[in-house]
Amino acid sequence: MEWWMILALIFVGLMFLFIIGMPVAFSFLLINIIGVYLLWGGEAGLTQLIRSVYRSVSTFSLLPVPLFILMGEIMFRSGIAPKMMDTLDKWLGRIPGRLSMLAIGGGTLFSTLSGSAMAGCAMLGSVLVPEMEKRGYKKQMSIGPILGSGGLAIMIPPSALGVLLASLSRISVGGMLMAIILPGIIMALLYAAYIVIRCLLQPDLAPSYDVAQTPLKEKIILTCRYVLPLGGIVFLVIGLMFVGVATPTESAALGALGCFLLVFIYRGFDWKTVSDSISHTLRITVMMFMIMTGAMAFSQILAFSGASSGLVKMAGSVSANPMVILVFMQIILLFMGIFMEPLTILMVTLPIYMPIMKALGFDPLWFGTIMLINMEMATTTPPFGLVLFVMKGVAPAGTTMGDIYKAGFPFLVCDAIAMGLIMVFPSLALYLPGLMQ
Amino acid sequence: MKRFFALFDKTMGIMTFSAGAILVFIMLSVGLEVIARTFFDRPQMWVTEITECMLLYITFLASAWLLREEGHVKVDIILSRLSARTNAFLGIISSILGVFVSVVLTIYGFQVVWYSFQKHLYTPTAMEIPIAAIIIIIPIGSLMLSLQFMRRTGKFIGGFIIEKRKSRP
Repeated sequence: MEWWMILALIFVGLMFLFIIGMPVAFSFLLINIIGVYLLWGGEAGLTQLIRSVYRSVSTFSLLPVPLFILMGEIMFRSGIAPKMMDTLDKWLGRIPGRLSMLAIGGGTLFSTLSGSAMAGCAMLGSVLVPEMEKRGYKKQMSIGPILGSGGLAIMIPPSALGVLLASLSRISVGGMLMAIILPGIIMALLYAAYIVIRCLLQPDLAPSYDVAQTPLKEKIILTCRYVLPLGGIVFLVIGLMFVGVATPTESAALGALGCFLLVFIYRGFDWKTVSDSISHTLRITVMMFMIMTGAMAFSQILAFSGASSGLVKMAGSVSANPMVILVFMQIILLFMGIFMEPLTILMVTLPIYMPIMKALGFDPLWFGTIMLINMEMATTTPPFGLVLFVMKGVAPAGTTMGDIYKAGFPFLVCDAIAMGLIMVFPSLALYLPGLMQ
Repeated sequence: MKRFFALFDKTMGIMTFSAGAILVFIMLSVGLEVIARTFFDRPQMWVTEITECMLLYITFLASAWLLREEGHVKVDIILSRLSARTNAFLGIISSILGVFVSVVLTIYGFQVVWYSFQKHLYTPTAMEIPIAAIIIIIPIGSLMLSLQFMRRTGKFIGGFIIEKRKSRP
């Protein structure tokens, strides 16, 4: 059978299973079972499949994932985040779209502590939306910025999805986490610029209000108490990795321990917070890792059937500019983001994309960063982005999904601009990994 | 049957609790290893190897629990637009396929465990952990998954029958 027929059968089978509502993890495993049985010599293939399940998950590079998620969960549930937001609020003067800017600032700061976009969005939504409502903010300026900055958790380390992408593509996890920092900051700046410009043009979207003056001394005390210690966590996660003292896994473990310590100091530490955080971390981790169990066998089946090399040859024979192929690949990802959640997209596309990317001579870290921005967009792309549903849960009563889609759209455009910038200026992604020791 | 599933739920609860405990153990052991290595010059070789294996344990210890909680992600683009009856019907199909997948993982998982045990296979690392001791969690977790998928099939069949009765004139 020709490679393209096998490829078509695999994808049609996978799509069929997705459509009938089979959990994604078991869809991959079923396709793998059929694939290895037919291609790897019957029962011998099935014993190989068990070994590949073991090797897909038991890898040191995946260890940061549960730890990054745990960090976000403990910070989210302990009640420290609202205090941090309150402190930031005191520093902001009377600027256009004040609370929207606070969402961006708080979202960026929270991203340095959390690896989950959903936790970021839920935290910002529950803290800021009631205040935004009270101040007469329109939905474009309340829901939109929260959707945008909640998604930054994917782009600023610790990023669970960044680790998964690096692990699936077999590129350096530390390098990947460093590569996404600048693009994440650029995205935050683009969001802020959009808010200021839009609020200057249409002040009624975010009516300005008098801000109670806080004495400088109080502001400094609050900052030392609630913001600076978070810098310690950022150092544990990013700093130690950057100077080469710890691997990403060790940084993640120290970061998680640091978060627990901080919560203990702030007296937010109780059994319920800890057990809820662990339970939610388990939910997300097991969901992700169960999908990962099929990763190795799936990419091996694609390679064994000749589909991977066939597609690489095909991409090589296309006379178009490699950048055109890159853009085309990203458009496919954007399209998939409409229906699927990011990890599923990565599982389906990475075994095909990575060999093509290597054949075209692209830097894997640069390519991974672009892909991760695309995945960040997938979490907020209507109609099925996961963050959109989290937002619905914390949005004011009467908010329709249509309102949420509309509010999120300009921020998706900002993401697309950021992606374009990284494509044109690869050093934005490659500068920091180059400095790593 | 009720008693059996009560025991099954209890076992699932213990397995999930163990997965949570392992998560905390990973955080503590990796964190303390960095401190021991950096400040006391005492690297702990076992940490990396054990924690790697623990990831497989976490996944398969809690997977059946997550299935019971309907926490395994699925693409519900079409499902959300279909009637409750069709949803139940598709639920039956996907659950039966799930039973098939988990039974295959259970049977061949036990085969690999038995083979690794008989051949005295160890990881090619400093600690030389018996491979059977690592892989055993795959068939155990898959067995729990098969039972949960069977229960899920029964639940959807019940739902389907109710919906069918409702649609009768």
